Amino acid sequence: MTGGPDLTSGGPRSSVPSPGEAGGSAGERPPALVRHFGLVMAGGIAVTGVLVMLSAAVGTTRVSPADVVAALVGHPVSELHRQVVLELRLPRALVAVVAGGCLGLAGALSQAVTRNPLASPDLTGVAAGVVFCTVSWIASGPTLGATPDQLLLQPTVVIVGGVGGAGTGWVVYALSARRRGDPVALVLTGVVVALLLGTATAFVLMLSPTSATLSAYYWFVGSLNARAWAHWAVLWPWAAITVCAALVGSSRANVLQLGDDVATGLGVDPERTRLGLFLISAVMTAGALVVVGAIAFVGLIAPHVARGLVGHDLRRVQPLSFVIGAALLCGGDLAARSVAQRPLPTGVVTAVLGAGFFMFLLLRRPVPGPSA
Amino acid sequence: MTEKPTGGPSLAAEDVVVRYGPRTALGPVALEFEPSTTTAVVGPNGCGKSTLLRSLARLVTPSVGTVYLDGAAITNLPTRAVARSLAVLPQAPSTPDGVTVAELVEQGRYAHVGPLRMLRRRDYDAVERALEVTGVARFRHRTMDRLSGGERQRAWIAVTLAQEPQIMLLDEPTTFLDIRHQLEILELIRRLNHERGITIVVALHDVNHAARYADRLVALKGGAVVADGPPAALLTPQLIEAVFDVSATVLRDPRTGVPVCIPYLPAGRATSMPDDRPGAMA
Repeated sequence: MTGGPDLTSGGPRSSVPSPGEAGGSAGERPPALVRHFGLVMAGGIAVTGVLVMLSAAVGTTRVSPADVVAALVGHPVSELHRQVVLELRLPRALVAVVAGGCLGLAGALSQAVTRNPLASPDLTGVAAGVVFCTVSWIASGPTLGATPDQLLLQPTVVIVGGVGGAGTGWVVYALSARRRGDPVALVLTGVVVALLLGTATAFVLMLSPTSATLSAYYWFVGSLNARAWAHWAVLWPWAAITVCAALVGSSRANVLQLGDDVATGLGVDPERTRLGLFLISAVMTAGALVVVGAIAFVGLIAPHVARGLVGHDLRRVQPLSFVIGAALLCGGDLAARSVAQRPLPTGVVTAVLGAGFFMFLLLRRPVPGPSA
Repeated sequence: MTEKPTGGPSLAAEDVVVRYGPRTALGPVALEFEPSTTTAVVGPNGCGKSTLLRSLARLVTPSVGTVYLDGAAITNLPTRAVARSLAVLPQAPSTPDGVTVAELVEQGRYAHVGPLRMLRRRDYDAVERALEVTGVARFRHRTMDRLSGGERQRAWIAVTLAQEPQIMLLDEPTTFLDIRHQLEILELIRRLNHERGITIVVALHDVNHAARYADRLVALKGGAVVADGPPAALLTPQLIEAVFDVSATVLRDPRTGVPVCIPYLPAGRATSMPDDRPGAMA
């Protein structure tokens, strides 16, 4: 029943004439997808599960679905299968699921608390802040007495990235404060800050030793290649903490979606709540990006699709955004591995998808007329 | 008429001054609002009506002075605790797209729900009553952007009702509505006061509505209270002229007996409007 993605939700609603008293029949019911939210979630989880199975099956060594199941339940048909499925492909697929889910959920959360449907981590500078701080951190690896790759596998890197992401996001949000009603103002500010940070990142890389530059570069491209249980170990604790925090905060975020005055009236301290939820979203983004690299646009697409399906209540949008993000990244990785002779970085697939989606959102936005 | 329930917390502004930068928007103002009364705040645009309501509702913190809710400084109380007894409907709240009426009204329970923020039986009951009383129950599954202005305003009032407050602050709830919808909103407010004893403070731009529906008028001009009292005593040509800068004839409403004012631009002012016909300057 909802209009799907919409860029105008920041401002007051224009007066739409009622469809008529007679039209509001007593038999009105919520949209089917809202009534059967459980089924929607189950469907999303099933699709994601199938994608994980396919991920485990597809590759240079083909493993039949039955053999994948056999390996998963602990009875692999051969040692090769055990290694390929359990040591290589399963961690990779799980990392894709959880990182994609985190990016989707982080996007839903930041879009809600800024009341801006474009406020995904990629467009608000949060991702750029994570990238800058992470690159700076791993580039300084030699001085810290650890190799860049070791640093990328320590939990500290998530905190460093999270602080960078949250700080940048907060600066962007504050800079665009004067044009709060216009979703594009936040994005323009975010893009400018992201450009600056991109230059700064390049500068840091230039000053770093070559070995660090290479590691940072491979990380930066955004890929799920060679993601293993060590990456999973970095990702899951942060994901678990931030996802739980986000779900607990979803009713607060719901109230915050109504604007600061209404939120205060209903008993939510808007500034503190926004800061808290923003931090959660930034750390969630950092956790995902640190492990999979600069994967773009999942945080933009997933919440839009989720809202288009089940409306704006974050108690539904958040979990569904997680599932959609998970399916997107897992599916994107699967596509990146299967479409070309040489495996593409996953980031390329999501970037192409996301750029198209973003253009679609911009083009369907009503053009404000001079008289409006 | 049935006995009106009375009681509930008191609300008072003590020497409240609100400044935006160098400009004083309000005050100093000292006002007390008795439980279970309806007070209408009137005055011209920019007189400080909204600022008064916003400071009473802790949406702005006064530069000087204190707002007391039941004797405690409102800014020292946890905002969630305040929300359990005091509800506010800001002027023209914006609604996110795609939110249905029922979902919106459920947000009104935020201050009452438990630690996991799950709505319980009595929360759903309160939501249901709010939807019924405001007459938006049959639109419950409709998204806010598909409602008319009057329906949308009633849905917002339902949000504040779901809060089950003892005090309601309403900032120009009838703005942008047609006459019928204005009266419906005002009748609803009167019922809430009469049947539930809710203390109402409402900013209105129409003095006649204020006189008809309120027990007490507070007239503001330039951020200061220029008159305060029951409408029958207060609504005089002198006051209308002092507050709104118009001359007025005050009559009695033949049906209700309350004073009604008919405003006129003062002689000499009527022609001072800029005349933009071509050649008018010649």
